Amino acid sequence: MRIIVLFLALLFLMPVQVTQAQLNSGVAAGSLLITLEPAYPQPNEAVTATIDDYSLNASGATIIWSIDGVEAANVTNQRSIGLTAPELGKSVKISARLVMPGTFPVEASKVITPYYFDVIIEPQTYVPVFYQGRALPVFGSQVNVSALLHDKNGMVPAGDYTYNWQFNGNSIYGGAKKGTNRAQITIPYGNASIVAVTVQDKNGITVMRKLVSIPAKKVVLRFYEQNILYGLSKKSIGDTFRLVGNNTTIRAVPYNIDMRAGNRNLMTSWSIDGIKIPNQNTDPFEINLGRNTAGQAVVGFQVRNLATLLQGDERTFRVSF
Amino acid sequence: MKKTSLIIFGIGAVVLLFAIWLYLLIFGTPTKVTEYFTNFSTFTSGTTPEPIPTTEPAPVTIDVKKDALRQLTTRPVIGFAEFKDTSNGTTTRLVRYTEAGTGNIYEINLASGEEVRLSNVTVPNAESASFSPNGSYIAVRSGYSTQSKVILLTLTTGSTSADSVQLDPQIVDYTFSNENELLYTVLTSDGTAGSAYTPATSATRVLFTIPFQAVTMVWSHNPAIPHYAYPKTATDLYGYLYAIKGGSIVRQPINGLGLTAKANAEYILKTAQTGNGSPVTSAYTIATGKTSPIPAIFEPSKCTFAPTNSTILYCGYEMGSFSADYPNDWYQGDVSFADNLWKIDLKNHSANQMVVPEQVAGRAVDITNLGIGNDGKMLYFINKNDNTLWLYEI
Repeated sequence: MRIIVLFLALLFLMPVQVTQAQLNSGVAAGSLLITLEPAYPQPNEAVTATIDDYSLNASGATIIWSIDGVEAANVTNQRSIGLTAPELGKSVKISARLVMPGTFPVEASKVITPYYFDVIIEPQTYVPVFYQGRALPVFGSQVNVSALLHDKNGMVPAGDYTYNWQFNGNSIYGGAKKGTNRAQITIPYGNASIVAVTVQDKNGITVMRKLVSIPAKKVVLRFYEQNILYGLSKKSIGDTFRLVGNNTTIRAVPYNIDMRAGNRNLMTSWSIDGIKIPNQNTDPFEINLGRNTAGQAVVGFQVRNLATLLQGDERTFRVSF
Repeated sequence: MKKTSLIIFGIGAVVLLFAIWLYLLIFGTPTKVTEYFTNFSTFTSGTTPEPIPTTEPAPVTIDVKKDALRQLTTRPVIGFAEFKDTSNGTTTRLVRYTEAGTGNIYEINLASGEEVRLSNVTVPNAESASFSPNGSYIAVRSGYSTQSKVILLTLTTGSTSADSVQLDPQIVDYTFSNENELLYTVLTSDGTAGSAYTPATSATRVLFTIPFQAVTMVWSHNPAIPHYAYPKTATDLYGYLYAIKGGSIVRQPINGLGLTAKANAEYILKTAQTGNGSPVTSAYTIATGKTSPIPAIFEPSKCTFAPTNSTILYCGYEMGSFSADYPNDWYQGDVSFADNLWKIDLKNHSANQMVVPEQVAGRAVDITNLGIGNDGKMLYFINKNDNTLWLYEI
């Protein structure tokens, strides 16, 4: 009797299991996905939505797209559609439905809630006060990176989100850290580095992710004439310089040298016609040039950070007097 | 006749002929009889020579009648402003400027051309300066390094002395509001703070904070228009534009590599790198959110909006190609331009070239610090080549 009951139970339950498996394969969210490019769009940014149905046998299926529940016109059977992300503070729901003959339709959806997400790079290197541009990172220098997330109310408090920082594939803080929207990195040898930052809300949902390339530039020397009365010229001296009066002061400016170097960790030297000369000036970046006779000379200067020897530059110019 | 007499007569005749020949050689052939021997009037004359008409030396006047484009100073200038003097019943246009290096303050009367020194207080290594709208206060930065400091000068009427006060040593950027408050930013441990300082009362109030330090401020002198801020320009790094509202920053839909921006009530002028490494300028209309490309490359310090018509923009611009490192190479002083002055109508998408300084003045001007008078009739700028102050009458 037990054997008969077991047989009958198997007989009636088996088809049900098979049916359930088919049902799962048809409607499971993991089987049909919508991917976005860019993955985390900014407000009003152009977005491409693409269906990802690699786990389905969707041949012969009809693809129907809808935006906020309204079927989109003229995009039926398109695997990708283009749209514009909504403005800040608004969301849009994109849905794709695959209608396959002989089975249940399969549907996936994605909600786009755009934020402005800015990653600001602040190299801790030197530029003179009259320079209106930003200092650039060089090998061995530090860079402060700030991740600023903005919603419709302005910049969101960092403490409301969790930030996961990675620098060249390595976690900066050992993992995600709540409220930490700043990081400091040291530029390694090479042309560029990658900082990746992922932001998650209180529910653990990723709201933003961004990769930023940080180039490694070089220290750049420039010379400027410093008039004893009228101060520093804002035009740099090129390859040649004409000494108009009897004497003048030339200032060397090492753009992008590590701010930590200061004057103590810097090796500086001036040369005239290739011969290193002792600089009588109290400021190692200035030299006084005086005329004894007419002629030409090549004036050179080099600067090097003794803590990071690859950080430095040297440059010459020809002075006619 | 004696032989001796004959010889003496002969010698005399020869001497006379030689003298005549010498005269003709020196003075040319006489054309009238009266000219014969006239210049030999050593023993005669009796007549007084005719007086040579003399002219009184002309009074020294400065040429104030003028071309539309003219150079106002030979001294290098680091800051300037236009004022109007209505004290004697007529309106006189004045320009005050700060001399580079010394920080001395001068005033030019644009009607008479007269220039007077208002302050002889020396601010060593004066690097930049800003005038208050009432003309009484001048903030001057002293020094070129990160250790520079800002001095506030207060002009004294009828004297060339001025009171000077050193302001917060952390001041990074500064300007004056229309209410004669000094607006400035200082670095903080986690960014930048903006404050307003009232010279009359020495009161300070905090206006806003920005969560990063490398800030370029787009100061507004109109309370109806917000200040804007963006990370300092670097052609290899991204910049984002923020409006400052309610003491904090509000992101604007403007960003890009090497971003620079300038704004008024209706438009934001934006220049940023494109994908192929060359800069592009566009105008963003605040009300509609639409962006229109501009077929020229504009840098903010080379441009100014008209005060009386918010759709009009004046810019210094040299047509040609720009490097992928522009404007950083210009900031560094590595490149220079021979700019022309342009008037751009952002509403009608038109541009007119107003003047070609190289043709008018005979030399190139590299325009920076372009400013305009309150009535919109005078453009002022500094020629970066020699830091002299120039004027263009619109």
